[in-house]
Amino acid sequence: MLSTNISAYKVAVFDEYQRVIDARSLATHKAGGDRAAGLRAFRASQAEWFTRRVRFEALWVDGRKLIYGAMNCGGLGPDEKYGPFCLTVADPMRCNPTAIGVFPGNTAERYVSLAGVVDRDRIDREIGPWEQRAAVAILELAPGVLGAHRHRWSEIVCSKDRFIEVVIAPGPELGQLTATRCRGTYLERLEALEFRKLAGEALTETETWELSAFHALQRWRRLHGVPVEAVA
Amino acid sequence: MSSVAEPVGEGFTLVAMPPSGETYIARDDHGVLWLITPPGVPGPERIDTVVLRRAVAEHGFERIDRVCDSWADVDRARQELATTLELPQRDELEEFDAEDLRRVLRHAARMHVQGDVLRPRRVAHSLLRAPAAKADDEVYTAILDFLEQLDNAPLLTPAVAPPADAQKAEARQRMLLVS
Repeated sequence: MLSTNISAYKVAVFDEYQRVIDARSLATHKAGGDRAAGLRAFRASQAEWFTRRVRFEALWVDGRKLIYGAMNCGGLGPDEKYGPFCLTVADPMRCNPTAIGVFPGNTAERYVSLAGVVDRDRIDREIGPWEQRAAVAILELAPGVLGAHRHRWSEIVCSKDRFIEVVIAPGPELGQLTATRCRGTYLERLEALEFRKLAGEALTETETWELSAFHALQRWRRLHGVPVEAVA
Repeated sequence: MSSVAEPVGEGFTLVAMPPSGETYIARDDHGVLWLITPPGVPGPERIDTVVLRRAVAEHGFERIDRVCDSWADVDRARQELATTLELPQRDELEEFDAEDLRRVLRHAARMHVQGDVLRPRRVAHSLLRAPAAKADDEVYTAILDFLEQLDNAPLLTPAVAPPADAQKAEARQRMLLVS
């Protein structure tokens, strides 16, 4: 499946839009709806990756709306430390994407040089459609994945240092998510925050964000049937 | 990958965080960068400037670069910046379903087993106000049963252990006063 790791802030924004939104839209949202200011902020945030990302996205229909995720077969995604909330989509083709592709690594660095030169041949050689995601993974990860026990596949296919990237546009609607995942120990913390709040205790600002995100996930469960899963 | 030099400030620095601030990047007084995760998520992790810039480019972290006097000061800055004013105010109890109520009740029961009496009672009473509790006899009865269990339970003495931090010490003091 496809997964993406997000912060409590992004959970709140996606809850507001009822869908996963792309980085430029998020920057515009942060800028209070000012598109020009949002795009300036987006450009500044990308630093040396800006030209590479723009050139890569120019190859696609709706490229500026791409969502970047990782192929995931059971874990918390490669970026839990940046965002403890992991959104998953088992079959992105059911989202009727205008663009989708599977790549054997980080597209921001793999296909466009720092000078902005696109290696189109390499993209053509390496890209796979969603239906061929397993083949893309095998070609990239063999021999590590061949012969490994099944219980290690999740870690081999998706770790913080190595992952199969999936890009899709536009972002899925919340009802198209398969599940939201958090580490079990983090879910325990979120439940503890919920308990403290109901007991009348004051939470810090960051704790309030975390609890708000947890409640948004529970709302997605109630409204869209998206389960909240604990991962060991 | 290019290597853009990062300024090394004096003292502690809150370097970057998403607007919600549950995870953040800080520099210690030796100039070492740390990615600090919330409790329950593995970490903290020593990182380099490439990871810092990737956090900004790919994960929505914002550069802060506020110099602080101590780790406590870093946390104060983090709390100040992670303002929740933009969060919509919701009465979650109004939205809870039976599964939410059971989850909270399970946690309250765990807290009671650990010696907490007052807060589980307060929480259980609040759950009774939820429309989902009033609409579901089974859940309503479970909450009442739990309250009855709290009424009948002997006052527990919390396990004696050195407090891990000031907050726990304060909580333990409150429980002792109740006992």
